[in-house]
Amino acid sequence: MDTTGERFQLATMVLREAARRAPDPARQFEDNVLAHLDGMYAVARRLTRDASIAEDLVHDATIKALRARDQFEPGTNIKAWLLRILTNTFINGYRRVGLERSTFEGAHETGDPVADGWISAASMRAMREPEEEALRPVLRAELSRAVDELPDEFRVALVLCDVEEMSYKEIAEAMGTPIGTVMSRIHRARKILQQKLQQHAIAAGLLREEPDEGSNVVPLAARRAAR
Amino acid sequence: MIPCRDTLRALDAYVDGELEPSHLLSVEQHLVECSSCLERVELARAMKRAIRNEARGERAPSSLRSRIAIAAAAERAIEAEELHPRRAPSWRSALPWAAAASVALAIGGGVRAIGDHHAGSSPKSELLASSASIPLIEDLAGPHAQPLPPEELDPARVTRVFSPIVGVPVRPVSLHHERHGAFSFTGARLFKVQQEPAASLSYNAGDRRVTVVVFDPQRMPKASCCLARRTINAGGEERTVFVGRAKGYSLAVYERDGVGYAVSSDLGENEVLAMAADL
Repeated sequence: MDTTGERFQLATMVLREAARRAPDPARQFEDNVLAHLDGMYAVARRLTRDASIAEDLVHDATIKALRARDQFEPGTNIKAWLLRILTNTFINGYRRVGLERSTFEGAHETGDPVADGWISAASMRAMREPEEEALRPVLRAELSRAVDELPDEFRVALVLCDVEEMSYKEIAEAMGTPIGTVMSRIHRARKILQQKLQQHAIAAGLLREEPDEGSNVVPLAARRAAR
Repeated sequence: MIPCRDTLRALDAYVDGELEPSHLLSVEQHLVECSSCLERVELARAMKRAIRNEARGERAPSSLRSRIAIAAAAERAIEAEELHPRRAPSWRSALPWAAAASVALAIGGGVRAIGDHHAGSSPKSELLASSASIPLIEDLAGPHAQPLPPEELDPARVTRVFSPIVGVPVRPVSLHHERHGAFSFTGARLFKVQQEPAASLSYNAGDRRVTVVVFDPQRMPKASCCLARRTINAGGEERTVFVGRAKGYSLAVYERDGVGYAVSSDLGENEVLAMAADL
């Protein structure tokens, strides 16, 4: 191989590499989108409750986002935009269609959101700060399971709110519902989680049952120094 | 004291930082006075933290990352295609569009396609390519796009000198095209594909050029690109060929008897495919 040819080849390789690295709006947009893969996956994982379905969901949503580049308004929150696409993709294609909406939406969203399921302050503290260290991971696992068991609509709202700290307005846009519905879903979701945690805490012997509102049952944790 | 009932509805918004300033004061006032509501807030906050912390630990698996990188590269390729339509679009009508646009190919330990296991609704979701391997495909088309003077003109010497360097037999073969007739061998030179030596064999017939790259598939990294997977009949045996465009030229890549071949030309893809079948 002659040196001139080699030099020429080297020069073309350098030029080729430079061309490949030159800023390109599509490439930059892609980089911006891919920077949020972990966040999208974390949400997808919670929404789908299944690692491999979560991957499919993130894949589909990402490709949709890349194709919808023109619809993204530069300067706005790209993560919220991506999560909107993800949520939309989930609601329209991954949910067990219809069933959960008809079963749960009516039942939960028309009822008085605050009246049922009274939990005493001491019980709440016991769930928050279990007396025994060993119980913490158990309650965390239970919480995670309870999130998985939430009806889709509640889970979507809560995950977007708690995991991604999206505003109610952003969640409403992502889910295509009024803000009031989002608030109600988040409230109901937390209520359900609290009740499940309470049931679990009782079953685990962490709490005693609370027979009726304002009863004088003393949860174990309350024996700790009163704060 | 403000009754709990009036505050309860606002507690979630309070926890989520969504409360309007006008409402904030009265809720905070209530929380000072009502340990029960304060506990509610603390529990909701603890749950929110726990849910967030658990989810924040999630990392997108590398398999997902590469799958998306592949699809994104295919998207880019399609976009480029739509922005700059090909000069000779004949192949588009000849090949099923979705299949032709892009499929992944892996060279090394046999040629295989990486399947997209999620059946999407749009044909584009079948498109695959790996960003990491695009340079390989570009490298394969490189000698045709930027021809350099040949190092060796004698076919026998090409085989003798180049084969040990490339690692597989490099034999200048005869090329024939139904319209352009026989292509004559005009010389060969060595170059690098992904840091590995490969040979480029140049042919021409009139003003038409064809370049055949011979490489050792075992030495090449797993590669994929915006090529379509086609099965052709080559002398009675089925052969998998990956066809597409790289650097503006038609490219057909395949493996036979452990030797990798990449045929690039300014002819159409179907014609390159036909030549690959004849090789």
